[in-house]
Amino acid sequence: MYYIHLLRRSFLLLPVLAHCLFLQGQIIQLHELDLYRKNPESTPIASGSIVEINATLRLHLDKDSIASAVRQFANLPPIDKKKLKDLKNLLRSQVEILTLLNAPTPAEPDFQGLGDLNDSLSGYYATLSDSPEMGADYNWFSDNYDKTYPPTGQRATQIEQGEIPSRELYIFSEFSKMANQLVEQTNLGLVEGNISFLLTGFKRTSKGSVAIKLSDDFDSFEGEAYTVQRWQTSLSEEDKQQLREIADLANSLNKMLEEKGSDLRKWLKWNLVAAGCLKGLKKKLEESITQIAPAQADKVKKLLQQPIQIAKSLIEQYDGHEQQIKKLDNVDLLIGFDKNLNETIDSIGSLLETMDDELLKILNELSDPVAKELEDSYQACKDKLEKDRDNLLEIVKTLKFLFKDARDLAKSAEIISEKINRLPINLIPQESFIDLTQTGERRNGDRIVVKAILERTDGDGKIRRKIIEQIIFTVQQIGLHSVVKPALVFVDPIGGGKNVDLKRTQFQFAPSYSILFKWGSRTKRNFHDFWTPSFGINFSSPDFDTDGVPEFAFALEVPFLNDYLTTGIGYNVGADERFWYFGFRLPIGSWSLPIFNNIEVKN
Amino acid sequence: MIFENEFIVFVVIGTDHISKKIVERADSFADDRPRKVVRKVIWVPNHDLLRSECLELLTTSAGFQANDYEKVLAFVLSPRLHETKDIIWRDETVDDLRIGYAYVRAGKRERNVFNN
Repeated sequence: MYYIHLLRRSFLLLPVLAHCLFLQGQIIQLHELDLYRKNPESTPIASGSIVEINATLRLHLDKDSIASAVRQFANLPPIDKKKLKDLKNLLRSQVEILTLLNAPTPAEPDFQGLGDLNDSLSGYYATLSDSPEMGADYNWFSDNYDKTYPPTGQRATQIEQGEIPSRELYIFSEFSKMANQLVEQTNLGLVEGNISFLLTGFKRTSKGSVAIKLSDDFDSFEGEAYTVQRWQTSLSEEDKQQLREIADLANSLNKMLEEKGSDLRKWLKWNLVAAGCLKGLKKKLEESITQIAPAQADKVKKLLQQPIQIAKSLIEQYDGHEQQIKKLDNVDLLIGFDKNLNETIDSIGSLLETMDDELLKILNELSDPVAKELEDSYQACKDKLEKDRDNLLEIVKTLKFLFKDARDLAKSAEIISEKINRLPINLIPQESFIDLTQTGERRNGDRIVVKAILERTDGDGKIRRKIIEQIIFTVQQIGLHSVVKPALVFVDPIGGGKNVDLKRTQFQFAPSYSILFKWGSRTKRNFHDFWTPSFGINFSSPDFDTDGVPEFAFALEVPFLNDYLTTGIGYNVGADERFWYFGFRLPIGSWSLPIFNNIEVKN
Repeated sequence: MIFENEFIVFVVIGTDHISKKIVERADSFADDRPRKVVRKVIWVPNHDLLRSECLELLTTSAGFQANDYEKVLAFVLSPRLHETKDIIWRDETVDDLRIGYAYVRAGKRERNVFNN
């Protein structure tokens, strides 16, 4: 049965585990903000995207996914959302039931109290009925109750006398223990922060990989990575909300326990009603030794010794309680006080038993006025003693079977409350911005890598890291930009004018520089890598009249194939001749012009 | 026993295995006497015996139809007005939680006809 119970509970955990293992969402979401619009629309960036080299990127971090990844990385027990809900309901029920706890329980059936209690308990039962798992736990505890305290026919009396807990109290107590275990598991989940979340950026160029600054929010530089502070990250927003409610309930439970504990203390202080009459009874008992029927003196003396001793002890206990109750300034001390009260209950029981079973019979037989006075004194005190005993019994039951577990639970839950108040995942910015112009020298075609990394320091002092997500994208000048490039051009005059001293079929080569205007594509990689079309103005110095002095010429040109080839139509100003040309780019001396979307390097 | 006393009464009808089991469990639960209110269990062997008495008690439950009497496995009466506060039907799964809940329902506040 036990194993079936465990097996069933294990199976119920499977969906939670599956959720933790497989359903981790996207951690990093990057969007490119459009540079050229007043109200920029954002373009999502995925691995492989082409991004404007000067853009600002909006970075969104999904904290729930980070939390989930942290849990896996740290091998933390999963936060079982359903269990959290159950725990919350259990705590709520405890608070509600404690609210109804009034000391002491009346001697007669209390229908009003029962109605109040059961109205509240019905919420607790509805919760149990709605939760198959908690319902099964209830049945399991109930079954255990019968095994622990078999129904022998005396059980009702034993419950009445506080020797054993009632079934409800037992189950309630077991649920408290279970809730306490849940709290402990949850506490384990709220690991002290040896897990760090790092967001790092790298730029990959033809020369290698270098770390880059991502954002002011992630700006502490450690080695090759920019890291955030070492945050303790383990809870999702939803978990956190649940835990906050649990913490609130734990605080309420604590307050309730203190309040009810205070009520019990006050009751103890003012309602131990037999204290006064006990002294009178003891005095009467002591006087009786010498005053009752001298003929029976020895017998009576012997019989009186025991009640005198008990009465004496009881008076000391009552006095002791009066002093100690003043010092019971918290629930923990009150809970520990149940043993003292038990002793008093036993003493009262012994005194009543001794008096009723033996002494009163003898006293009645004596027909002695002193004996009569003693009996009257005892009878006057008996009701009060019985009342004290019954009430103390109820208080002890409450302390032993209800308060102790509830207090343990509230104490544990307090720890959660403390931890929740310093939840570090809040510190991770939900959103940040990456300004690519702040990432240093960069070229078209460079790749940027953004990595989300978890790091933990293990017991051996070694740092373990795990990349939980990365996005790699290419940066490119997408908007219109300009560049100056040298080219060797071969010019061919159109029409062979009078100022041309070249053979018609002869091309003349000339050095030139071009101011080129280019643009990029977000979608077609071969647009940048192969064709790279552009347009521009070419300035060259051909010598059409072959007099040894180059003329000045300009042309409109269209380069392609990554600018390695170019062609255009131009005008030789010195020779007053038109020409067309083709040319080759020289792999030297090109630079960007500070107009349009140039690549600036900011330190 | 019902009307002369102020007990919470759990009435079980039938002699089959389930009925016996419920009697046993309800009796075990009757050892609890929260706020000193006594719980009792009455075992009615079949639906014919005490039929009119049972029907009279069951009709105090809102929505109960006499035609459904054969489907009743057990019901629970409140201590003072002796009204049916919960009915357990034959097609229900009855476990300790269900029995505990039935006692709790029977012990809830009764209509305000008493001074206390």
